[in-house]
Amino acid sequence: MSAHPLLEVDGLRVAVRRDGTALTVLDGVSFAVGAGQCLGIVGESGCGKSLTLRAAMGLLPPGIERTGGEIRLSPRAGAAPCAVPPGQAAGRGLAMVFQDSHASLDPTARVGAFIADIVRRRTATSRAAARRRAVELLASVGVPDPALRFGSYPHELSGGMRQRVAIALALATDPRVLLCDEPTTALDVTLQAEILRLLDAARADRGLGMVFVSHDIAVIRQIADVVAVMYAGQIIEMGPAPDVLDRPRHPYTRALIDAVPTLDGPIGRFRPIAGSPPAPADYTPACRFMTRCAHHVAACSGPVPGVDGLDSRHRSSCVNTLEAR
Amino acid sequence: MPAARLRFVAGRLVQVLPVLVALLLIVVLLQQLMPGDPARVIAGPRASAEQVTQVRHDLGLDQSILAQFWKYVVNLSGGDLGRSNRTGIPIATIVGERAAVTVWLLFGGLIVSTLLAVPAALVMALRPRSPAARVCARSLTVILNCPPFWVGLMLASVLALRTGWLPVGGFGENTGDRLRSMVLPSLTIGLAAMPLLARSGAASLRQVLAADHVTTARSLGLSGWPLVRRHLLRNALPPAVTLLAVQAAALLFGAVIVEQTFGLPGLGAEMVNAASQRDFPVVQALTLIFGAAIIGINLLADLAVALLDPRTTWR
Repeated sequence: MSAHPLLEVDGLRVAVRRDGTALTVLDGVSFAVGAGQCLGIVGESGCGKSLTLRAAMGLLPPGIERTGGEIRLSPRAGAAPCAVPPGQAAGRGLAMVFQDSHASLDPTARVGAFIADIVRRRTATSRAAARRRAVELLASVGVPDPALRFGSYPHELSGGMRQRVAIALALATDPRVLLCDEPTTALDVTLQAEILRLLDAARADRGLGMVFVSHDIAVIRQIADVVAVMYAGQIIEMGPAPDVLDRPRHPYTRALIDAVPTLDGPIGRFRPIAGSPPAPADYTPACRFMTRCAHHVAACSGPVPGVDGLDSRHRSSCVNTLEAR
Repeated sequence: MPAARLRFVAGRLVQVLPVLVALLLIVVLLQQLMPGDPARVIAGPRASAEQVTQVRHDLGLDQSILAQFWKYVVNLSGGDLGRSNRTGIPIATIVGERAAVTVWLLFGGLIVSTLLAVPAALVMALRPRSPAARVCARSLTVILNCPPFWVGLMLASVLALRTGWLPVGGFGENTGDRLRSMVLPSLTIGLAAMPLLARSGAASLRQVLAADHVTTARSLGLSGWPLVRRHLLRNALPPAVTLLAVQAAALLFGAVIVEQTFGLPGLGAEMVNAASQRDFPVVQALTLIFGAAIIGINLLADLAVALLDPRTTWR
């Protein structure tokens, strides 16, 4: 990892505007990603994982906007990251791979021509050179017969092949950081492993920074160096992957790991987390996991510290951490 | 692939056949259903009862409906649409002289409505909160509620009478005059067709805009016109084409009124004249032609929609 991180998300706040009121759904999310590093963001549905990536890209849906914080992106290798205004990051160093490769590719665009088009927008090369580059990219993501597949439409490809095309498209923008929004969730396990290997290879070969969002702890364990755990719009624990996943400090992280059934564990026992996360309207400065937590103490009802993830030390927002108990 | 496409077209034509037969039946029945006795009309008001019976026999009107239907179909297959009651001129000749005016009128209307509807739809879908979008939406409501004959009269009185740039009506002798005489009628037809086209276009664009693949395109740094041209329009086009075909009937009806308003010698004006003078064979033939045209336009639209979507399986 070089001296400067490639991407810094600092104190990100995002709100949904409805009927004149703003409902904060992301609250002080901070993290940094360096070259060749993979940050895994894990959490249950609705905790704000995908929204964090959308906000970093500047691709928030209508009615949702960034109300605070800064996105800083390194303009070139080795340079200190500088702030990007909302909506400026896409195609300028950040690229994204989405979950549903069926819906996320234009059904009327031939995949090769689409990639060549993106290449041409970036580099202003000749049509023939862009075409060659597109075929190279298709080959590099493991599409067999890339010259033949150049003229295919997305619906003519399998799910795994479409996701490879989606990765080739993202790489065509020559990103420094790749944001992955559950790119393997819609695939079966064998394909999942192949796509993970492919993404990992792209990261190693190109020195990409990577942010990988998933609800699947096994996938995160496989690909991430640093793990952030999100709950109810906040990062509640963050640190090096082995520390967070094997020695969690936050009761929520512990519960999340325990909820995964294991092959060598007791048979027929799931350990679900009782209750459900609070709705954004009920977010308070107090610990948001408190009502579902077996270990809560008086201090949990007061304001709890946020997790500043700009360095990669192991931190937790729990005032009564498992380690300390 | 072309062979598969030909089969697709052939399949659609076979589907259309029953509709065409039904249309023919209606056309033949029309004569029975219309008020007044065609034999009496042809024989004239002073004809005796025997003369009327004779005319009825000559025209085959005393035969059964099926026999009349068969005779019509046989004549039609030989290109014979019958003769006008009023003038005795073969209807095929009348149609040949007048069809071009109507076709150009519809074509002009199509161009005008597309030129007006596409920008309006883009503004309403891409900048929904802008003042321009609000102006568009309100103007569409106003235009939608203006009957074409009134719009035609207003255009004629404001654009033609005040300025003298364009003829108020009639059809010129040379190409230049004819083009000039098509401007206001095309504008009238185009304005009548435009509001629904713009609204459905905007709705369809909004739908595409919310699609995941547009977010992907944006995540790749695409924005502005390249995004619209390559990823929005192509996806939003098929519903608009379908709607346009559905509107074909309304457009043809509009042509009837507009030709009358501007004194254009087209099929619509001929239809009005023939109907008002009980010229049954002409009304029959024109009903058949208008119906066939609407069927044909819908067939073409089906084909265009299938061609526009690469996911079409040509079956």
